[in-house]
Amino acid sequence: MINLFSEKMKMADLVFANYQLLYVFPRFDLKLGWGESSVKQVCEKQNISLPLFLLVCNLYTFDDYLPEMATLTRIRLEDLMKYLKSSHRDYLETRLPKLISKILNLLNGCCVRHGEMLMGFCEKYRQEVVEHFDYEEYTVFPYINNLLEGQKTGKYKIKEYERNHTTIDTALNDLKNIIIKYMPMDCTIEKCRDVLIDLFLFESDLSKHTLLEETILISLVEQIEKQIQCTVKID
Amino acid sequence: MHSQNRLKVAIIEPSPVVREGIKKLLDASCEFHVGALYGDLASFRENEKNASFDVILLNPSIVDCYRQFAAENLFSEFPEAAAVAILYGYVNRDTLESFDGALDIYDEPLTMVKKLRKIAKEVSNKARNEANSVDLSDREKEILVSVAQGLTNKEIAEKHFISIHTVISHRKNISRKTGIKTVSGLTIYAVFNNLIPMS
Repeated sequence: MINLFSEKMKMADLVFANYQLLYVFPRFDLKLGWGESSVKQVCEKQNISLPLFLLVCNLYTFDDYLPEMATLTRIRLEDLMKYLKSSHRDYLETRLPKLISKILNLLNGCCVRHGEMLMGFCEKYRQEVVEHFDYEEYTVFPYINNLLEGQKTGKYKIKEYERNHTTIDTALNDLKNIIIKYMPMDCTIEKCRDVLIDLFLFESDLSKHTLLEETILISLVEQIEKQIQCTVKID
Repeated sequence: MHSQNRLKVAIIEPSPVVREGIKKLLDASCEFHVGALYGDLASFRENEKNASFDVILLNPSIVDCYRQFAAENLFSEFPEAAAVAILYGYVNRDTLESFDGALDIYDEPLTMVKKLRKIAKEVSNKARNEANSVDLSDREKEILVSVAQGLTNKEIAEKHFISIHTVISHRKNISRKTGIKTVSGLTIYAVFNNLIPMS
């Protein structure tokens, strides 16, 4: 049995338990200066959805964590989508550009053509991530919004999203392998370390993000789809 | 001994009696655990695509009708597993050579377990040595260059006179050895290792 984070815990203790949450907090617009306040107090003060905040923090911290139905039903899809969108922005506007510029740095002094190839690889990956997020924001989320407003929808079902949800971490893994195993000898560990640690952190963050979409988002939407189907039948 | 320490075995044998008999025998030893029982290759492939086994016991008579290379492909899909033939009688020598070893159905139970233990150990030692040599084989390098040139599996098969299935199996092994899965990643690997000129 794992000791999950609860609303009574001190907000600061969450960071002491898992410093990677420092990447998660800004997506909730969470600001510092908590003192000894509890998670619940901070969330209420800063107008953050407490159930969603706890769910995300737990998911990001405990590998085996799968929320119970009772926890899930307290999550508002609007809040979840807002969080996911803000994660997308974080990935695209902050973390990925930083990562790519670090790789670019790494390539200074490296063979020009090799550098160009790696940059091409990074740019292709960035494009892949953009397309992935665009599909969610322009197809999946509007569909969910329509569902929430009770609008009849076309043929699209969340199952389709589940089927098409591609992983965007394969290229990251390739990049790790290329840097760790196949970078030319003149590249020192000290030079590569920074990039690699960023890569590992980015990868683990993305994998939790994917988990959030594939387990939480999909099952919440499926429930609404079922409800709508039931009401249609009763009508 | 806990089951996770036991070697995981798959049995592909058309006769239910023989199948169950071998399973009983192996499960009773504390070294093996039979995790899959099938009467034919197709359903084994279908259901155990993503499984891993230490030993695959296979009746070669099934292989004959699939032709020998089908079995070789099967074995390359499960590179870590020891492929062991179940022998009743005469088997074509070429067929037998594609296996890592053979069990005689008329052997005493204890002998059978002993033999299987020996084969499994040899194969795992061999696999360990191969895993240590990270280098791709010459054939794999050729295939990799074709992949990096952007050829499809079908085109690669035609160019190298091999089946698409074999191409896929080569690509799996290349990715397993290099840890790189995407085509653009493999292209970078090929250039970094001077397998293709930069262009």
